[in-house]
Order: sequence, then structure tokens, then C-alpha cells
Amino acid sequence: MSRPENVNRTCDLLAAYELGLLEEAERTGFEEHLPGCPDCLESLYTMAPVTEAMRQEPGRFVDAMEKAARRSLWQRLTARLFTPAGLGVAAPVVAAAVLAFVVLMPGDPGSDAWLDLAVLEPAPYTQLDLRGARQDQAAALFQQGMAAYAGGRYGEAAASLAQADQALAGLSAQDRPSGHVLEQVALYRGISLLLDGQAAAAAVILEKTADSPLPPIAQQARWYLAQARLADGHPQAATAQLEALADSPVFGERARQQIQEIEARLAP
Amino acid sequence: MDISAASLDALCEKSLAGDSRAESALFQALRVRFLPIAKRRVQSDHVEDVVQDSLKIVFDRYGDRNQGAGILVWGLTVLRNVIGNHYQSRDRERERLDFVDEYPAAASLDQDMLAGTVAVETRDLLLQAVARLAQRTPRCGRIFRALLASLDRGGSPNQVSTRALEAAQLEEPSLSRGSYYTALHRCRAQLRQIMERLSDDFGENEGANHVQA
Repeated sequence: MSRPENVNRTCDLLAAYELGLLEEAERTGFEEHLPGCPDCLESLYTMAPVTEAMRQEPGRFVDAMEKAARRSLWQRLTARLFTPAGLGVAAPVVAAAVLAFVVLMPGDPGSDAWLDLAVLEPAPYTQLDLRGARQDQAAALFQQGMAAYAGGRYGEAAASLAQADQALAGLSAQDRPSGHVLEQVALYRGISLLLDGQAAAAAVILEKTADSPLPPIAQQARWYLAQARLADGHPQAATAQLEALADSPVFGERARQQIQEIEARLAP
Repeated sequence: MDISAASLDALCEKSLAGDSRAESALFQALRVRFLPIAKRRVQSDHVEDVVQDSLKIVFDRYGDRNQGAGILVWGLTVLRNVIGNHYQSRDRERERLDFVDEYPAAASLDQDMLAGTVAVETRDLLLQAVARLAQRTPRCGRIFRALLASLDRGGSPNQVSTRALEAAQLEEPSLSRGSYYTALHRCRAQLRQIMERLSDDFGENEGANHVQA
């Protein structure tokens, strides 16, 4: 049957098939596979109403996922505020979070906080090549930082990545890895700071990374910079970053939507 | 078009355009895929009835659908509802025989339910499940969100697929189309697990995976 590269089993095409992503030849091939594969057929049957629901109202599910991501951040930040460690969180974040907490209490229609609008979730981890005799220490620190990042320990991740950054900066120009590796380290460091509740510090790092000549890094940094600005209580600064993302295939839709939400809240 | 090498959706499009050969091929292909599912769920002497009832509903309604895409998935939703109705009727019959004077007959599933309409409960369950998926596995959340956003924008399957893949590639540049489909498949498995945990009823827990005596 026709099967895209890197698909080991025909069954792996199931989700793409049911959501209508396969090309005609692939679709036909998968359908021929079905009568002889009870597992796929049963799975397709069991999930049929789910798939139909998704295909009928996809926008509704996008909204649910966006709200869940925001709720997740909100829960993390408010939980942190009421722990002893929370006392060490940067003052502007505390102020913004407390303000948001107060004005967003259930039943209060006068919400004017910005933190709840920020979409803060970790970016996917991209494997970086930091290997080399001269980069061993930086590589170890980077791996340590990313392990903490993957485990959701963002404060620890930010600290390790800052050390990795320093170790890389200490290398001679000849031994230093390419610019985009340094930018990626900075990007993850900025995101970690942001997710750790240090929005102002995150913004400083992300602002530099947003000027990267590589669009994926620059766009990702700009998106998180906007979220840092929002979390830090600067909606206009966030809007400026979001406007720069309006044409991005990855962030454009979310950026436009967030601009609308900010404008709706800023409106008298 | 060579009908023998056409997908079900392509056959559906041709059928809707009036091609009777394509229509025959479509319903024969659907029947082949419905039968093993029905055999696992209903007694052998009811299998044909259930499949025929489902095919009849599909035949009556498939022209009313706005799009020909996803005919098999929609057909399976119809089959699922018909099987559910079959169980309800059987249970009602037992109750009627046992307690004929004590229990009023329950209303049967209406035509809209049988015709592949998604139950509100399923949709609400799914809303909760996708939200949990986004919280628990951010990568799956991103993949599904980009895909659903692309579906929401509409277009041909190729346009939807290309947009979703490009979005995923910008965040994970090394992702090929094949590995994207595999990742999507794994995320779907997680979504299904979450749904199963959220509701024991999801997936027909009444033992529909086995023919009941």
C-alpha cells in the first residue's frame, strides 16, 4: 500500500485517516488494510463519534484547549504564590498575580488583570548538538537544565541553562557552537524563567532571542516574549510583539486572537 | 476514475454526482467493514439486520451531509447508534415480558440519533478530554490544536494536512510527514485513554466487545 516515509506500521496512519489528512492513494491503501486488521477497525469504530465531533466543530475544541492551557498556568502561579518559595518570586509577578487573583475572584465582573490572558506552556524540547571536547561542561549543564525543564522544574532549568550559557560564552570563538545553538539555549532559559513566574527576567532574555535570524526561533521567542509582557502586566508591549507575529503560520492565529482579547479588555 | 482503486470518500463523491456503479461499490465496501464489527457485538441471527439497518440509514442520509469526506467514520457512527438501539430494544423487550404491567415502554432512539449524530454527552466528554490532553502532554496538545485549527479553517484534505504539518514542523523542524502521522496516532491513543478514564461508558463498556448470550 502507499505509505509515507517514516511510518513503520500501517496502523500508525489511523488518526490521519479518520481526520481526513491522507491523500487519495494513502486513503485507499489504508481502507484496503482495514478489513484484515480487527484492531484498526475496532479502534475506528470506538472513536467514530469522537472523530465526528471533532470534524463537525473543530473550533470549539481549539477553544477548550486554549482555556485549559491558561488554567494550567494560572493554577501553577497561584499555587506558587502561597508557598514559602513563592515569597521569593519577583515582585512585579507577585503584584500582577495578586491583582489578578483579587479581581478574578468568582463573581467579580470587573476583571482587569492580564495574567489570565497569558498562554504559558512549555515549548517542545528540541535536541541540540552541544557535543565536543571543549563543550563538555556546557553540554552537561544543558542536559541537566533540559531534564529539569522536561520534569516541569522550571526554576532549576533556568538556573542550569544560565550556567550553560555562561560556559558557552567562556569558550573561544573557535570552540563556540553556532549562533542558533546559543539562541536555542537562551530561548529555553527565557521560557523556563517565564514558567517559573519570573516574567520580567524572562522578557529580557527573550527580547534578545526574538531578533534571531532564524524564523522558528525568532517567532517562538517573540510569542513567549508577548506572554511574558502580559504576565508582567504590560498589555501594550505584548500587543506589539503579537502584531509582529500576525503572519506567522504557527503563531499567527493565536496572536490575532490574543490581540482581540487584549483590545476587548482595554476597551472602555 | 478506476472505481476499484478509489477511496470510499471518492466513491461517495461520485455517488452523489449520480454514478450508480460507484454507489454500489461504496455500499458493498461499507458492508464489508461493518460486518466484522457487528459480528462481535450482536448475536449471529441479528448481525444482518443490524448491518442492513445501518446501511439503509446511511443510504437515506448520506446525500444530506454537507461533505462527502469521512463517510466511513460517519457510517461507523451510524452503526454504533444502531447497535446501541438494538441493545435498548432487546432490554426493553425483556422488561416488557418480565414486568409487562409495571414498566412503561421507553422511547426508542429517534432518527437523528441513529443517523450518526454525535451525542451531547460524547461531545462534552471530548471537550474535557482534549483539555486534559493539552495540560498533561503539551506536545499532543499542540499537535491537536494546530490540526483542529486547520480543520476549522477548512479546505481540501491536502490543505488541512499541509497547514497542520507546517505548523508542527515550525516547532519541530525535523518532523517528517510520516513521523507527524505517527505522533498524531500516539496522541490519539492518549486521548482515548483519557476518555476511558473520564467515563467508563465510553467505548461501550457494557461488554459490546463480545457477543452476548
